[in-house]
Amino acid sequence: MKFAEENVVWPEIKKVAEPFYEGMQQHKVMIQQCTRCSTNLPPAQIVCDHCGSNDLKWVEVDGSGEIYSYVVYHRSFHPAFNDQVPYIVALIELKEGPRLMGHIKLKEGQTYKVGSAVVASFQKMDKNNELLYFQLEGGEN
Amino acid sequence: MTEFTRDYREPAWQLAVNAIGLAIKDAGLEHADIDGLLLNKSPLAELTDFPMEMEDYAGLSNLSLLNVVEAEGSSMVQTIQQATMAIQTGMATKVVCVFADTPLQGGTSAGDAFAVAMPMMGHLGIEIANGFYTPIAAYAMAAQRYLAVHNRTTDDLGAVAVSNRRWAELNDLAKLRKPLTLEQYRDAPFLIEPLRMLDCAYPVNGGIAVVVTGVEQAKECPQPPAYIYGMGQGHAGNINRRGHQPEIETGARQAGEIAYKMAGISASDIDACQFYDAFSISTLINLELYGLCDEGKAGEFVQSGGTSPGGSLPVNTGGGHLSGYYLQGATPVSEAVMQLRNQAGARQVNKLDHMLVTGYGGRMQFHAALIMGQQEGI
Repeated sequence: MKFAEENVVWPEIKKVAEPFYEGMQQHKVMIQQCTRCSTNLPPAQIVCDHCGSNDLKWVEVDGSGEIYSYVVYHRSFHPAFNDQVPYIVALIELKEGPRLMGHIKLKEGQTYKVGSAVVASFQKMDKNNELLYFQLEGGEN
Repeated sequence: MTEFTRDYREPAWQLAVNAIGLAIKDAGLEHADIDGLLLNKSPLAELTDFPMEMEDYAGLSNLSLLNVVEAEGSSMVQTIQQATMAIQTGMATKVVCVFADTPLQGGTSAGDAFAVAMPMMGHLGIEIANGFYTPIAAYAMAAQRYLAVHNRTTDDLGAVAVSNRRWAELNDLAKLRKPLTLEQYRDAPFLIEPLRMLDCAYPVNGGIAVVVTGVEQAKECPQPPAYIYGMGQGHAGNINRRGHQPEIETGARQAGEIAYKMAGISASDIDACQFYDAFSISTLINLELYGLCDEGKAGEFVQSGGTSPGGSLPVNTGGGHLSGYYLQGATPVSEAVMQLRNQAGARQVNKLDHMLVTGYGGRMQFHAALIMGQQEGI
């Protein structure tokens, strides 16, 4: 991992995942789709796990879905996250089927559970990078 | 087995050499008798910490089988599976399988030792930016999904911690032996919700080795043999899309079905289990996927005392990873051998015709299982 700025941790991006990160910079949620069987795939796959094809394309989705599962960090395991605890990291099942990981940011008084509807949002991390996170549907800015 | 310590005394390779020597002596053999060595390297360790040169460190120069088996937490069971296959094909006759690890280096806590980003999203690598660190997080994600799908509470997880602790109270080797109640569990703070520290393995430094040999040779050894009747693996992938739930529908089901079929038994024949249980949630899921409880019902079974001392299905009878000692896949294997030899003292289980012994790795992706027992034939 590398430190893009103080208190920002950013992964070394593999070539196969670049369209996802480039999409986030433009506030787009990108997933993959198999051109042979049309199965929607979570990024960043090499081969379609449904039909075995390696002919995959990137498609933009609106980033809405529901909470598949989540955890709440009550302790930080990395200095960059010391100021954020407690923070929620969730797996979101997009309405197209694939699941993505992101924080859930709540507004005062909001409650949530597995199955709650969420929408995508983006947070500026540094001058080059935006990070996908999720808000409860109806509570977005 | 070496001594298990919470401080750093010797490197992992030295602990392995010590464990190998103890196992050979325990089996009534000489170093020259050993013709196979399978090394279970910890995923945390570098290959240089646990190299192929272990043959020389351990004084073994008559090997016709040598490998480093790397399948994360399923490795120890896999070494025994590979040893069994090698013996059956004639490639080797007496194989030592060894694990050693030193997660506790001077000055580092267990949390620090395991505080790496947890890969759940494959090549995407987004876990790092989201602060998704430590294996605890992946198991917390599985636990939350399990509890939501089955409409259960963290009392199910706590019941596993309590059951393990009750066994640990009976085990001199166990590290956490102070009685634990469900009320005390509920009062403990969350670490990564829904998991608490009491849901997590208790790491130690140490080494464990076993000798695998054929049935006739085993009878000549001074110790009573622990027999293997069946074995299987299951690797169900990590498919993050609708229709798949890799967090709670794991390869354990496949590993169990193959092992039961090979042994000619069904899940209802199992008398006791030694599960790899680095986190409490995995015991609930394994009880269900290995066919021992209906789906969503494992928590009720554990809460009723079914897995505890005196229960109908003793599980992790040494205290397991949570209260006993975390030496990855070697923990369930070591307890299985002590039980099958009737050397488990106050925690000895009386009826052990069929014991399920398992390992899994990663975030429950990689599974390996053995069906073992005390009698030569079933």
